[in-house]
Amino acid sequence: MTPNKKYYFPLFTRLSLLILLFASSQSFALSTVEKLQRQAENKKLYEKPYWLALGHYNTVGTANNKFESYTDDPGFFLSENGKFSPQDELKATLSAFFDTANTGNEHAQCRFVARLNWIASELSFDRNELPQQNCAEYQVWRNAINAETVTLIFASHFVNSPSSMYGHTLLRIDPPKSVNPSQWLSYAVNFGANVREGENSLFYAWRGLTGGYPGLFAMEPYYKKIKQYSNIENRGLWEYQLDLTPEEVNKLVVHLWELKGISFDYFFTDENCSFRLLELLEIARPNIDLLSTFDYKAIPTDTVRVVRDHGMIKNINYRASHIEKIKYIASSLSPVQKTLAHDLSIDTGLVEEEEYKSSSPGDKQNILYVAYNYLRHKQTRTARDKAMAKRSHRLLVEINEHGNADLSSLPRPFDPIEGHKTMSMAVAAGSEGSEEFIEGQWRMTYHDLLDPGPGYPLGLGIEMLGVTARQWQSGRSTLERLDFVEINSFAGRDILFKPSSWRVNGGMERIYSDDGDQLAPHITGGRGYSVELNDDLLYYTLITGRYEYNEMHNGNHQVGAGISLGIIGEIYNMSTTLDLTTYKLLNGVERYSMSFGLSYEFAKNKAIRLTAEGVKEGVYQENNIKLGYRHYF
Amino acid sequence: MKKKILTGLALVCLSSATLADPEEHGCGWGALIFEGQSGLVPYVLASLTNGTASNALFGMTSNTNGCQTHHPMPYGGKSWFAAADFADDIVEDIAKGEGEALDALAVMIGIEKEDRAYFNQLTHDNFNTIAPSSEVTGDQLMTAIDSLLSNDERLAKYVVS
Repeated sequence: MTPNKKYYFPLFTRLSLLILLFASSQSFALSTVEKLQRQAENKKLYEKPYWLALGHYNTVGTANNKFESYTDDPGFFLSENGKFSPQDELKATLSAFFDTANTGNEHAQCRFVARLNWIASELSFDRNELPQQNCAEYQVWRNAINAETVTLIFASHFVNSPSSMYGHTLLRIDPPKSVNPSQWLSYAVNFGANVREGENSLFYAWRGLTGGYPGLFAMEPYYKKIKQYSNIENRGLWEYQLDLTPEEVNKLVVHLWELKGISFDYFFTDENCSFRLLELLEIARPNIDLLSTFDYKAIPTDTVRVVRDHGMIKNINYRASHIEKIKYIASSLSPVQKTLAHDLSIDTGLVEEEEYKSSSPGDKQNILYVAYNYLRHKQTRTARDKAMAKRSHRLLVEINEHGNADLSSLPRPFDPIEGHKTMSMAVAAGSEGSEEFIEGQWRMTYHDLLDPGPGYPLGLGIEMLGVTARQWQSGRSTLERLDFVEINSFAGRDILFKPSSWRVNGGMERIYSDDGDQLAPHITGGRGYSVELNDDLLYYTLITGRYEYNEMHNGNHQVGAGISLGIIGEIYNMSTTLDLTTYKLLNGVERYSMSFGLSYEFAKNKAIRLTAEGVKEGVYQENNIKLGYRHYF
Repeated sequence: MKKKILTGLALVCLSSATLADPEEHGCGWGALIFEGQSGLVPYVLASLTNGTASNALFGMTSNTNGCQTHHPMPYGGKSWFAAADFADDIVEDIAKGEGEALDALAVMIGIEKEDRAYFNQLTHDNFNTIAPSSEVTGDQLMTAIDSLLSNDERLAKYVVS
């Protein structure tokens, strides 16, 4: 107790002195703050779009003066009511800038640099009047992010992970060309969940899926993204360099700092990664409106399209995935050489054999390229393996001696933002048996196997929420289909790559039989394999399973199994499919269908489509054919 | 209500995230080359949540973690120890004689543009010294590059002893 007592009095004196000091400086500061707050009120600064953008405010409902910030993090607001009131938040921000109780990195001047910059440009005040702060952390960070240009990155579809099948977008911040830049070392800005090591559990996965996971901005060196997307997930990366000026880039970077550690609910469709990036671009370039077209969904390619439509894309680069490169080089090999490359990756001793030794220098390079990279690909998701490492090294020694394959003319695929748009409507006229009908269809997203192929991978179909209705000649109108989800993922197998193909469809479909017709809820799925007959033609076979609820059945709930096989092709602006499907339900009902489709894109986002189908269930047998127009928007 | 349904359905843009970097490399160079990417669980998890599996959320990865370097090579606040993350790719690029990983390393070391091609050639010619076996460690790899530069008349200037 004694030592405490000893210091008690002097400490008290010091404290009172400090308090006095604060009080006096605050009373001086208060008047400046008040003046500025009044100025801000008079100018209605809190209503300015840029202030609303800095606070990530969204108007709520029909009233234009009711706001809510997308940010859910109390740490982002200086006013208690900040999430809902841009006005209070501005007032509190001004107070906080003059705060003398707080100093250094945690001071509002250091935390909210973009706000400070903007307010200082809108209100006439001398920054020297502010209590001077040493924002050391910010300065270190800002100097590390040497930014001159920004590139919008689209990581293409990844169907085998249901959550990223529409692709993903992120930003890359590049330093000036003059400082010997390496894109590998540029910073990638990603919006997503923060998955920390040691937090891996099913619980977190569930939270991530249901939206309970907070979304955060993260910055990492771009090479990590290249490794993740190109090498592990085998997704091509489209790099759209934006025409932002260094000053605009600075605005974006400074605001990023304000978002450090700030969480957003990110699962709502209007609060996803692509939307968040558009917000950042609106911060970079004030007075640009990128967001207003996205009411309830922001599909990555659509957001890139909006950026393009505003003339912001300066340059486009494509970074092919690891597999794409292997396939490209492999395509120049003969079947025998391909097998040799495959075998070399398993037994590097084959380099001593005549078959390899007698290959031409160019062929050797290609064989080695495929062998080495195939081996690396095989190891992508496995732990380190001594024998594999040894083979990798042996092949590198060989590459070191013979040189690397030439990838300079690797073809660039069709730019996904030049593909058809993602929502569609269709009208068609046709006949079923002897009766004619007119049909209308609306689909929220995205692409089916008959839609125009350019910009979408062959064999990929992703559809969410589609409605199809018919008006019959007899006057009756029917709901034919209500599709919640339909995914087709067909990827060809060869000696090197053996992906599986699958299909899933859930919704309601009208089933016609001798007893009449019934709209039946169902879930149908299948798994199998595909073979690429050539670049534009794919053959598939699937074993399928089905659940159906049908009130015409004996036993309303039915499960069944069957088989589907078919062909998908794309030639010029034409797509075609042929599908044979049969399955048998447990109650004995057997159905057969054969369908053919042909689609021709005669102008951008405009296609005509012809489909013909024959169905058979027991003694019931009917054919339908229809021709229609399809519009993408 | 309608909006809610739409919201629930359109699972857009939930892409995947980085792998949890299995070893946030301490001093960086203990890692063996030709490592696989193990750890499927964090991978799948990150894939589902579009997340970033990383402790370095804001780019400010801790630098050298106590490692000593006598290269004047910080780049964007990082030392070249960060290159431990892509030691594999560096070895591969050295074998080939070019590549983005080798470029990144050159940038980290601070090698000027006019010396880049020479640096590529020098490392390429000495592949067998730099990576004599598949069991070479990152440490050995960098030490080898280091001594190669030190003993080269043109590139010795990039090594500060």
